[in-house]
Amino acid sequence: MTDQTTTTRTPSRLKRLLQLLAVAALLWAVVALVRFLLPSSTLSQARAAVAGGKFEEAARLYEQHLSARPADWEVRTELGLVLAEFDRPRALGEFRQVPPEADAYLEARRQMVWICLASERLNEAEAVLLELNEKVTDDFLPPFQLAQLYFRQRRAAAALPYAKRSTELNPEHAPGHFLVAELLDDLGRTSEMIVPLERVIELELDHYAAHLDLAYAYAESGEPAKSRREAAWCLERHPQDVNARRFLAQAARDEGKIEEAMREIDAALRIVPADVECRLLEAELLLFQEQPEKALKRLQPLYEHHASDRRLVALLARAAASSGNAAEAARYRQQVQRLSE
Amino acid sequence: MMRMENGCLAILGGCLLLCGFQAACSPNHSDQSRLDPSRRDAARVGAPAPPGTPTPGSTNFGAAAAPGSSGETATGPLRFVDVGELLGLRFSHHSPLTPQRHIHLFLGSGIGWLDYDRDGWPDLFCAQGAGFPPGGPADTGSAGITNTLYRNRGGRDLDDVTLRAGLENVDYSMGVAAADYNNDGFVDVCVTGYGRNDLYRNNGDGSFARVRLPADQQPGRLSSSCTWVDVDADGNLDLFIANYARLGPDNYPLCEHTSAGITIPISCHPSQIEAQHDLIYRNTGRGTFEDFSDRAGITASSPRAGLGVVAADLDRDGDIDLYVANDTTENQLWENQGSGRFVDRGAASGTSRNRHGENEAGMGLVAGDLTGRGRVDLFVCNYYGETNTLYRNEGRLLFADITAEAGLGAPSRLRLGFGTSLADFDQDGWADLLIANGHVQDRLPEVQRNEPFAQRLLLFHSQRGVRYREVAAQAGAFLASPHVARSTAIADFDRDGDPDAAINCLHARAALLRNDSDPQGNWIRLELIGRSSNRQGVGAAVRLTAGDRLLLRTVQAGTGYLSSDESTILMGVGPHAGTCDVSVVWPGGLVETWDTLAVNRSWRLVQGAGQVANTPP
Repeated sequence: MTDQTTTTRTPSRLKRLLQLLAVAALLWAVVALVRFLLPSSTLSQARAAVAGGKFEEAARLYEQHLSARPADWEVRTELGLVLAEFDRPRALGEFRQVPPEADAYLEARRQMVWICLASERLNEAEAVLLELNEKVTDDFLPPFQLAQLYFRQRRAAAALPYAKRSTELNPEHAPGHFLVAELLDDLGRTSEMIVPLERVIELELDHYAAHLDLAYAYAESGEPAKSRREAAWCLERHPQDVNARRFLAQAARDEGKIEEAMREIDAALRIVPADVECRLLEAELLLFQEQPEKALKRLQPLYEHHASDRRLVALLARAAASSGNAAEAARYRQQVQRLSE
Repeated sequence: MMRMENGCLAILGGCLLLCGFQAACSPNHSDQSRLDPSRRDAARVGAPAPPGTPTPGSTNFGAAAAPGSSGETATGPLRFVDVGELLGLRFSHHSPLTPQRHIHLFLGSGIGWLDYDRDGWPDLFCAQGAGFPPGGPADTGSAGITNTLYRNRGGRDLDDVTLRAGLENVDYSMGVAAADYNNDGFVDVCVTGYGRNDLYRNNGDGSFARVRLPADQQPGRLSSSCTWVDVDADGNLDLFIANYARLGPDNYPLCEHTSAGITIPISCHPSQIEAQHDLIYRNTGRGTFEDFSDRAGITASSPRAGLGVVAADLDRDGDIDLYVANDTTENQLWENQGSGRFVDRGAASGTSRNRHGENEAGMGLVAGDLTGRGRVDLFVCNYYGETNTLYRNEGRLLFADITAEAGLGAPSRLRLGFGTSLADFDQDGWADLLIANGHVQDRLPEVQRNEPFAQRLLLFHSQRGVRYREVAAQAGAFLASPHVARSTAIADFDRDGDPDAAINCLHARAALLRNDSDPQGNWIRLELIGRSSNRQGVGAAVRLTAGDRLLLRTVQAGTGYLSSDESTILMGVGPHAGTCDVSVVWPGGLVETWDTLAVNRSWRLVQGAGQVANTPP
């Protein structure tokens, strides 16, 4: 009887065990599925830490999450952003891992650009920007940043096509137009600055730098009346702006109003007595008025600190020669020659 | 949701990371003859008396007044009408650009006035270009394209007399300078060019004979402006030729420009070509010339790309100095040491660079009293983005760049200046300026460079020498329109008492601008006849006192860019209606004076017939 009972109860236990195991497996699968489908609590905690400004803690939690899911590229990109707040090299490392096939790839590349630019990794920034410029043809930012990068590297000729491209892609982006103007100035194409600067002002009526640059561009393009208008606009807002006052003086000079020019330059020099640009203009006016001794006296103190400024030395040579100081004039002329070689 | 967070973070991250220029003299004086004494009023209705016919208004000029009055409206103080085509000026410059943009094809050719037949009417010589290579496909069908001499028939029409004169030349010609180098009373002409410089002696019968200059043929050498100057004051005119560069014929420099991913062929920058030393040919007085360049000292420094040259006594020491405008390198002021030996005083005089010590791309230039101070100032045309430059003569061979203060800077910034002429267009007693503009690059817009090939000329009206006002836009249709203009030359071709202008444009029809400005005063015309000096008085300084004004003009034979003005001096004297006193400083320093010359007349002043003064007034 006992043996018989045993024989009959064994299958029943096994069955129950199997059922339990099945339920457990089902539960495990459900939990796994739920965990797979929903953000982990670690991730939630990480994001909460970011919101609270606790970047290091957030990074730790992100890494914890990524240790289980190393191919979660979006989260890795988030980690990169957080790391960028306190450890840029590590952040860069995280972004670099994102493979081209990942959805987060372009975003990671964009973030790499910011970090590279901020940490002077300019070669890498250039490479990534060129890649982005090629892959994302409707985004104004990569060409704009590329132009900015080249501008910083004093490669204006290389920068200009990208800056212009950025303004084509986003005509409402005032910094793009302003950058175009600055690049044209670097290239000596001063007169061409006018159109982009006028566009900047269309977009941002009170863009002070654009008004000031426009005063300069008009002056250099033979439009003193317009230069005067822009300089006056600036002076209404910043009466102490020496550059604006100098442009006003230059406009007056170009209009033949020599006395007015002298008054304006005097006013500017009362604000900043050692302003080289103003002193140069003052000396030019004095030489025109045949006062070479006075011009020489005003320029001489600048020479010690600006001996490599060819404009200054050329004016000194002229003032010295007209004052009868032949030997001094010859010295300055030799310096001009050296500076020209 | 995650993407949104990601985007926000991206922007946040980005923002955090990046936060970034006297002696008695009357019309009846026995030693001076009266030329063309037409009255101003008669002239205004178009009635210039032919020379030798002293009766004012004896010839009606109405027929010539009609041409050009083609409905053009001009409202400015200076007004011109292009009457070239109507008067028979058919000349069209030929300089087809090559796909590679060979540079000399951009530089254009000169134009000059000379009274070759001594009939009293200035005739017009137009220098012609050519295709490249010469005789190549670009020249196909261009038979008859040659330098051209037009005889001025009484200011009413122009006859092409090239063949009769024997002046055909199918090479690329550049500079023109006309003067009577052999003192026979007939004007000769020098024509420089690509690979060849030609001197034509006037036979006095309407024809010219070619005279050989040393090394006048040198393949690849591009000579530019030339001027006649008696460098050693021996009474024989010598010849200065500015050389630009050596351009082939093998290894002709070709250049490209890449921008915005686009590569275009462009004409080369002067730094990319081999400059050549300028030349001085000394006139032996026996009909031949010798190369005097080394002995003159002008080859002592490295060669520069010369484009313009003027000759005048800049330091008032009696000998003639030279000023050469060079392309992107320092200009040279060659101070004559008295015997034809020159020393470069460009840097010391303040004329080698602009006020900021920068070299400029010098093209054409004029020397004259632009500021009304009785001294010879210098005015140089320069490149696009630079200004033209006015150097005020301060005495002691020192000059001051007063371009901006004179109002000549701003309007010239966005122009590339080539030819320029100085003339008192409205007879107010103050010399005005005409400037021919046009770029040397025709394809810049393709690389997004806003620098136009064709550009409007500039016309500056002198405001009593203190300032210049630009008035071209109101000066008539030709001046109000863009052209690729190169050379300008001045003459009173219709003998109405005001200066007219001829203009040679690149690969386009030449223009003859008749001056229709309202006169603001009177005029006087002076023809100098040298005896011990060269016969035309080239190099002489004429100082004329009209009331309280002292006017200065110099006789030059080769000025501006590649060009030559009429040799007689036409001076506006302003409202002064009385007589004028004239003092002439002949080359070599001899000073003679003539008093009480009436205005609105032409006068011939013969050396030795005036009263000799000891020092220049």
